[in-house]
Amino acid sequence: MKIAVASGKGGTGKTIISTSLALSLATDKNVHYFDCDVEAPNGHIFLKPDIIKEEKLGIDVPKVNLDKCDYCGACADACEFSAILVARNKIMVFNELCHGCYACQMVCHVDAINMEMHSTAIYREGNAGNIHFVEGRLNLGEPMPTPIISKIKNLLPKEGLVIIDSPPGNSDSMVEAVIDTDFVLLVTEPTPFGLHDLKLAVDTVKLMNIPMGIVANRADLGTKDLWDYAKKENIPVLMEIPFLRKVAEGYSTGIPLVDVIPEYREQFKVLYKKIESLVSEKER
Amino acid sequence: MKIGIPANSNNLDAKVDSRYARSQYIIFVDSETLEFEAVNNKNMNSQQGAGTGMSQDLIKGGADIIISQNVGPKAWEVLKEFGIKVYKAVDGMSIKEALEAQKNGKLEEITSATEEGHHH
Repeated sequence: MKIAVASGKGGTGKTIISTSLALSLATDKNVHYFDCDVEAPNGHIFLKPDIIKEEKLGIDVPKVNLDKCDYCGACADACEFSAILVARNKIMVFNELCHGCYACQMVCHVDAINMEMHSTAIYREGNAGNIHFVEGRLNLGEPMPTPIISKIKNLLPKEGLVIIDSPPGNSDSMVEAVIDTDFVLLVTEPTPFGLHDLKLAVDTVKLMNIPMGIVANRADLGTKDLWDYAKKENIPVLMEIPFLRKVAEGYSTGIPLVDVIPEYREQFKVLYKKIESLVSEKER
Repeated sequence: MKIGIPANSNNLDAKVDSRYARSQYIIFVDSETLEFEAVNNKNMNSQQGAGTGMSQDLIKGGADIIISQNVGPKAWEVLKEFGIKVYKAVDGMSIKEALEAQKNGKLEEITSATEEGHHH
C-alpha cells in the first residue's frame, strides 16, 4: 500500500500528519517513510532517524567535446529548456537548467556530447525506530525537484506500507510524488486559502484517477465551506484535528502530534482502516 | 550596427519591454538605416530557460548590441560570454526613443544582471 500525503496549500500540517501516521502504524506494520518534499524535507525533525546511508543524487548533464563539436546547433534546437546554447562558434551549457533528458546527445551528429552527473541533491536513508526512513534533499539554490523525486520513487519497496510526504502545491513535483500511489491524503485547513488550493490539488489528483480523502487540520478555525465542497465533490473528510496550542508548541520543538497527544495514535489507526476500505472499494 | 530589443509590439513605436525574455516580440534594427525586423519571441511562454534562450536568439539574430530594461543573471552570463554590450532603456521608452538615446550616449551600459532569476 502506497499513501501519498499531499496538500494544495503549504503549511497546513502535511508533515505533522505524515509523520504521525507513520509512527502510529509502525507498531504493527512495516512502514517506509519517503520524504519526497525535497525542497523542504522536514519529516526527519519529527522522526529523528539514525542515518545509515548518504549519497549524492543528480541529473546527467551534457559535457561537450570541443574537438569534435562543429557548432551545428542541433543540440540547442533540441533542448526544450535552453540549457545548451550554440551561437557564433561558441557553445554554453547551463547545468542548473538541464533536465537530463539526453536529447542533445541523441541529436549530436558528431558524437561530441558525453553525459556526466551533476549533483543537485542528497539522498539519506536510515531507521527511525522500526520505520524505514528515506529522504531526498535538494541542494540550496537548485531549481528542479522533480527529477530527484523521480529517482527516489524508483527506490520504493514493493511490499509494506509506504508513506510519501509530497511537496505542497499541484505542480509537476507534486504530480511526480503522488503518481502511482494507491491513495492520496490531502491535508488542508478550512480557510479560504486552504480551500482554494485544495480544489487545485483535488483537480490534479482526479486526473491521475487515484482515490483521495481529506484531513482537516485546525478544523475549528475558518469556515464550513470545506465540508460543503467535500460533500459536493464526494470526497470524504477522514479526520479532523482542532487547533491546539500544545500541538503547535510540540511542532515548534520537533515533537510529533502523536507524542504530544498519544490518544491520537488510535485515531490514525482508524484513519488507516478508512483508507484501506476506500482503496479496496476502488479496486472492486 | 544591428541592435536587438525586446519589444511589446512589432514596430518602432513599440515600447522596450520591461521583461527581457518574456517580451512578445524581438526587434532587430539597423541603427543607421532604421530598417528593422520584428520576430515573435518564442521564449515568451517557456517554462524554463527563457533568459538563456532569449540571449541565444538575440545573438543568433545577429545583434551586435542589445537595448533592454532588465537582464536576468543567466541571460547576462550568456551575453557576457559572447561580449555583447547591453544598454539600459528607461521604463516607458519606445524603440525609436531608445535608439535615439543610445545613439546620443544617453543610455547607461548594463554591467551586471539587473534582477534575480525567476525560478520558483
